[in-house]
Amino acid sequence: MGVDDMADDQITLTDKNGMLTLSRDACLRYLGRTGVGRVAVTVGALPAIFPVNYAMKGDDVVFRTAQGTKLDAAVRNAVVAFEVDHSDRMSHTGWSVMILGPARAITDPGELADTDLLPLTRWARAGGAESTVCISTDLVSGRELVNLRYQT
Amino acid sequence: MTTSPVLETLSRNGCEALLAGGSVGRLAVVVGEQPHIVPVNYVADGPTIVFRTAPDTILTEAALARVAFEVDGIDEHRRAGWSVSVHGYGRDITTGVDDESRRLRDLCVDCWAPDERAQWFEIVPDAVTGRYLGPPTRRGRMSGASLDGGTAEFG
Repeated sequence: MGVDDMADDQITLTDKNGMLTLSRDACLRYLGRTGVGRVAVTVGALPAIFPVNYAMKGDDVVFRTAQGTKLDAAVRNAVVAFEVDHSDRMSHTGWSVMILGPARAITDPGELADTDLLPLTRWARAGGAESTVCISTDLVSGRELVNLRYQT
Repeated sequence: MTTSPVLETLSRNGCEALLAGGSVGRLAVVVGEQPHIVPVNYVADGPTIVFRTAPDTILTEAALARVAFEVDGIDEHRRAGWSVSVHGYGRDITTGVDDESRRLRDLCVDCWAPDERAQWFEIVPDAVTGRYLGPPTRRGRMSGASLDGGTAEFG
């Protein structure tokens, strides 16, 4: 789906980088593609960034972390940024969506069981314990870059 | 048949080769104690990352006092992926007349955004780390990069 497929009201203004600002609906639609995203956390006031495989559970982003790792420790009740993007090297177009919010470990057995049905790739080595983490999309923003040279 | 994935720490040369092969990376900064992620077009000069941005974005020199820059390649079908991170600080090289600033400004950073990206930054690296997670590979086959032995935690 590109910008052409969106209703006019889904695109509002351009930002300081000359990119289109995406509506919440458009952001959620891009997040709904699932796959690989990146989580940024602060570790001792320093930023760190990790790729994760994620899926959507309702309007929440869900991913798993291997227990005992830096990422697992950093996301515990901390405010994190989660970002997904897509870029096309040929047309020089792309989009990115970022959410910001507290990460929450899912511990309720029923809620955890629900996440078993999500298309989350298990990357951890055999036997490794994992945490399941979710982030709300309450604060979501997105931008899209359209290359006018490729518009008809 | 599936084999258990292996986790390998990438060598410095391996990390630099992977950085050199990319053109889009993600920059993580802390603004007002909250992390932010911004995808950027970049050029790597060894472990040094050069990128351009428009003035007045959140990517100010203050925000870039501590940055993490990440490039990755993930093949979900093979369940294999690598990730290289550069930790360091951003230095504004837009107007510097020192040799380093001039030299880096001569690099061709291919910016896709339509506006004039007049602000140039380099990320001065403190640490470069990389990991590979996936099926066991023959050493040196991964994207032309060589893999170091050893294991590290993933996460």
